[in-house]
Amino acid sequence: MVNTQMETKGSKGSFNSQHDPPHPTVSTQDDSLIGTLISVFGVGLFIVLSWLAVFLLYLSRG
Amino acid sequence: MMTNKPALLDISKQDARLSLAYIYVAFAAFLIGIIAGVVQGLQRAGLIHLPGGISYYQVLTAHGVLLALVFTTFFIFAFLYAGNSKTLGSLSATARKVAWWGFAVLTLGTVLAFVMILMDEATVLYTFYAPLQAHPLFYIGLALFVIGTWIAGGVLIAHYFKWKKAHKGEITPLFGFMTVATLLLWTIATLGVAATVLLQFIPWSLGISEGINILLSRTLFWYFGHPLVYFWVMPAYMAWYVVIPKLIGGRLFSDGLARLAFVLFLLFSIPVGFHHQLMETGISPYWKYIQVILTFAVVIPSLLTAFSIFATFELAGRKKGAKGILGWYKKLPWGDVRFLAPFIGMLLFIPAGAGGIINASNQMNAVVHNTLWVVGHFHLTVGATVALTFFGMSYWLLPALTGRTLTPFINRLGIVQSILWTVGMFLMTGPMHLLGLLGAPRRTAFTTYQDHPTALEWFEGIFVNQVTMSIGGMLLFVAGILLIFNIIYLIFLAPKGKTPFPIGEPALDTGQTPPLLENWKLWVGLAALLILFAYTIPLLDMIQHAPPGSPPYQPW
Amino acid sequence: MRLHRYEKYWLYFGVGALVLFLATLGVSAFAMGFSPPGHGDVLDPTKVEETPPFDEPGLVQVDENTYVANIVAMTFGYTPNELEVPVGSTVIFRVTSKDVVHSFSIPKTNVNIMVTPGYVGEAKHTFTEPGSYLVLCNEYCGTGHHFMQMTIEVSEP
Ligand code: HEM
Ligand SMILES: [Cu+2]
Ligand SMILES: [Cu+2]
Repeated sequence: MVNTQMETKGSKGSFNSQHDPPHPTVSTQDDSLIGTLISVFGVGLFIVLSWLAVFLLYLSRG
Repeated sequence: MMTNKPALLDISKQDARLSLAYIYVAFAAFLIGIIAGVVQGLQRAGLIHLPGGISYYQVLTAHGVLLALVFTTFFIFAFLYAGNSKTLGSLSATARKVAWWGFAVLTLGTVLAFVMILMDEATVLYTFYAPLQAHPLFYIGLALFVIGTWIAGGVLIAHYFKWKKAHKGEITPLFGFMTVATLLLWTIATLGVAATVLLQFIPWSLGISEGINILLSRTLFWYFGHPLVYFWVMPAYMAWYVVIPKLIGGRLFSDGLARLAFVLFLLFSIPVGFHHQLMETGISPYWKYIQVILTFAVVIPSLLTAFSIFATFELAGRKKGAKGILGWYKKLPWGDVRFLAPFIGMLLFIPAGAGGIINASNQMNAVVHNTLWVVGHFHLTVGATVALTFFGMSYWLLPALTGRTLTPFINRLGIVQSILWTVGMFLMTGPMHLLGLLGAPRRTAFTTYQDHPTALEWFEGIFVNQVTMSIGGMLLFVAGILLIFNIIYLIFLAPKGKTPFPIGEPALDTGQTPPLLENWKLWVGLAALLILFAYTIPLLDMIQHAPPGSPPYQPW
Repeated sequence: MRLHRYEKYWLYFGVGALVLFLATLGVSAFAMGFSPPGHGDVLDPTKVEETPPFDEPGLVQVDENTYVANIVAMTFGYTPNELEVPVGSTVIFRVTSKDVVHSFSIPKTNVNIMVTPGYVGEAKHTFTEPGSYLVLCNEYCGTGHHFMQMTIEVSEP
């Protein structure tokens, strides 16, 4: 039994359509990556806050 | 079970067999390793006593060696062999023969070291710090393990250069490129552990040399120990860069940036071992700080990766018609374990990475060094991020190797397994981090330090409690057993059919990748220069100003 | 290969944060003396009992509020195994090992010394609160590792 639901052929096919130019320069527009920008800055914020928390703990134990 | 018709396989049958051999050892080690893990959690919380004079530390040695060294390494080689056979073509008969020799040497070394651990002749933990002295066969086992990986890795590197020679002027497949970066890193890194095992430990354990230079051996170990963690992470990243885009019906965001990230790992993940030795005497604070700077540099390829991965997801989602700023999250295949497991791994890499930056922060290391925080940290990195990615990979790699298919039922069980593992990790590593900040030590059997209030506090909280930690451990164990069941099913029982090895379409900017990125002589040369810069002076210092060597001890 | 504009923002932010962390650490380490341990004295690890000051381990008062504590770590304990200082004291711990690697770690302080045989590990701490401080070994040293402890009694004046 082949589990067709989990194959990705359909979506891959449409993604690979002839509309892609052979040597496109850059694949995306800025606004299409706005979610990415927000996501990575969320990650960055988490890192900075964690670091500061432990740094303050370190200082308080000096 | 090798009755499959080759037509059901995506790669040559012989290469699949080699890959499967690695898989068997990997999951055998995994099974024994998680049994040890759950026992440790229960023992540390004071919930059980170990029977028959088995020591906590013997169990812990087995756990560390089997999971951190054996499970990871064997799984990685299984993945690399299968992936390169798929992208660069089948191995030649000679190459395959050598590859089997590599597997044999690697496995022999593993068995030797493991038997010594079982016989209580090597209760030295997986870091085997001198002057604890194990049986010589333990060290010989380790040496064979390393030599085995050199043979196995050498075959793959040769396979890549053979492809390159036959395809002059073409850009190499991303999978092959990343394999070579990972294996070069491994080879350079293992020189350190090979040096200390062959030149220090083996002669010393055989009684040929009298004393051992402890600081030198620790330094050579950590010269290897840090890139070791990148040897685990890079194959997981390979799956994220090369396989995941395919599974989500998208395409990698950028080929050049992916290659750049791997080159940066090769350059910066080796000259950083001092961040594991920040609390010890005999290394100047200036050299420690220099290696701290280099450690921070190796964060950059992970920053690049974070962006690439999110962008790959966002572009795939938008192609499928996602609206709004974050609407693309909804378009991801949440019901597919092959995506879900590695995705959770990616998420858990955020706290794991934040913790890593804290660990490496020079003097701040005093807060966390050798506390349970560190154990929480690496269960998030290797036990969650890498392990979950490997689990997700297993759900297509195993059927691809056996000519079977992933059924919806096993997919559902896989999702249950991934979520259980995640909840278990949360309940185990959360308390570990916080208990560590309270000073609870790692690598320490159940103890209340004669009921000292400071230690009793570790058993009193609701969340911040060693008991919560061991409940997390039990959930992990159940999830691990479920995984073993799924794996056995996928190897022996799942319906026959062809499962492709999923390799994403090349990124759209593939043609523009600078050829410089594939100049291995340059990158290996630069890596060597950075290593010489970071290590020469402190190493000479350590040798010239060494105290008299230490005699052996077996205090277990 | 070209960087996307947003990726540049992300890298500026990420690398900027890393540089800021490093600068904070560097300044507080080298200008303010919050450095991790560095070079220390070496000695013969098999002759600790004959090597001063470890032939007579214990507390030495340096001035009104400052003490040096010379401590020997061994499987599975410390000599001496109790210290007593008045609250407000600054103690410089100097620790070495007679056998394998140990640690000398005081939970909830920044004292966390790796005790490598042949070297003298050092750390300084000012005890501003009275109480009984637990010292433990957080480096595996053998079967009795989890029994390895001592206490520091910080008393009200
Ligand atoms: C059922 C799942 C697991 C459980 C319950 C578990 C639990 C534990 C516990 C309680 C410790 C010892 C804490 C200490 O005394 O220091 C430990 C150590 C460790 N674990 Fe796990 N673990 C699990 C899975 C894993 C996995 C999947 C990996 C890696 C792939 C891993 C790698 C390690 C390593 C490297 C150590 C350190 C050994 C040492 O300090 O020498 N664990 N684990
Ligand atoms: Cu490291
Ligand atoms: Cu100890």
